[in-house]
Amino acid sequence: MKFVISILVLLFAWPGQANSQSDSIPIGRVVYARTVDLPGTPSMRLNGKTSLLFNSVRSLFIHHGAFAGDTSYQDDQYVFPVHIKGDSEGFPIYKLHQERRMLSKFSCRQSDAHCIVSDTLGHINWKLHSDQKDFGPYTCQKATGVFRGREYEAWYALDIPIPSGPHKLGGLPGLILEARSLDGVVEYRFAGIEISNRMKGILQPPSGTHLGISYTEYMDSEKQFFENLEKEARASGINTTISFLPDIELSWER
Amino acid sequence: MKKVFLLFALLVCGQFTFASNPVQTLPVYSDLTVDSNSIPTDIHVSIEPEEEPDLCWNCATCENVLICVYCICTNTEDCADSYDKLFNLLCAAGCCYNVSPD
Repeated sequence: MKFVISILVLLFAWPGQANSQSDSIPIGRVVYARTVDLPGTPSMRLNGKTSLLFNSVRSLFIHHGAFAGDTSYQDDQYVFPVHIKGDSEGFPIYKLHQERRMLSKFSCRQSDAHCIVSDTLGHINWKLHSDQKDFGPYTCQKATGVFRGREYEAWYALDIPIPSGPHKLGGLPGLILEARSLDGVVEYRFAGIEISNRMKGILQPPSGTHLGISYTEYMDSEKQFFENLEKEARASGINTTISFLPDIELSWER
Repeated sequence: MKKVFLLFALLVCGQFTFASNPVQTLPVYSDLTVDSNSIPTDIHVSIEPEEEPDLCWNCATCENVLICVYCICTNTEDCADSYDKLFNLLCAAGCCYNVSPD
């Protein structure tokens, strides 16, 4: 069975088979249960079912647990309600494997339609290990690597030679079926895989406000903006501190 | 016997020496200076440290950013004002959304 699946994958996933139309057609989907444990932050918005639709040249990571509309809740440690913006698309991350490029959509202060920035896929310096573990019909190999401030353990399937995975993880010689950060904060638990030539969904870029800059550039400009806001506020006699809340990504280097 | 004689001789000579210089003059200090090394260090003076003022923090989130405005808790006027200041900062960041000060 595994052999048949692998043949199917190779048939559909072989780069030579790709063209502009079939590039958008997924051949498989991995489902992950994501948990992000950051007490005192609105990290609960990140928890829930996520999935990765993929073919050989593109993949699309979606958070199905994202709220469709905006919501807010009262947290005792904050004066005003915490406002969480929803997204009917599930804040997709669209990955172009050969270009090693990603487009990620996220909730931002600049646009109610959400922001889209580019990012680099597969720049993680993975260390490959000989450990093996089975996930569904696939035997996976272990790899460890640091991605934006957290060290991850990832399990990838060599039988599915697609350099993608949950969130912005990728760049391994096989599809990542499970991953977790070693600090225990972020986990993408394998919850199923389906490979079919009748897969629903389409691999297309997210809709929203394209800022035309990279994630690194965006975060640098945000840092600058809030530093200036803090300085101006203090200069006008307001005692204030402004800081970034911890998130899945703790840093924003390329 | 020899030892007893020697001891006796020493005692008699010593008495003669002190008796020839019966008055010892004491030095007179015209300028009194205090040698810091001579100040005793085991005197403990209890000084109450100035207490840090209690700060009251009012915080709110703006996407992935935490903005806090603080005030000295006893300054009720300033603390009441800090809600407005925080709200204005949130709006300056484009994050006042649908929140409004109480």
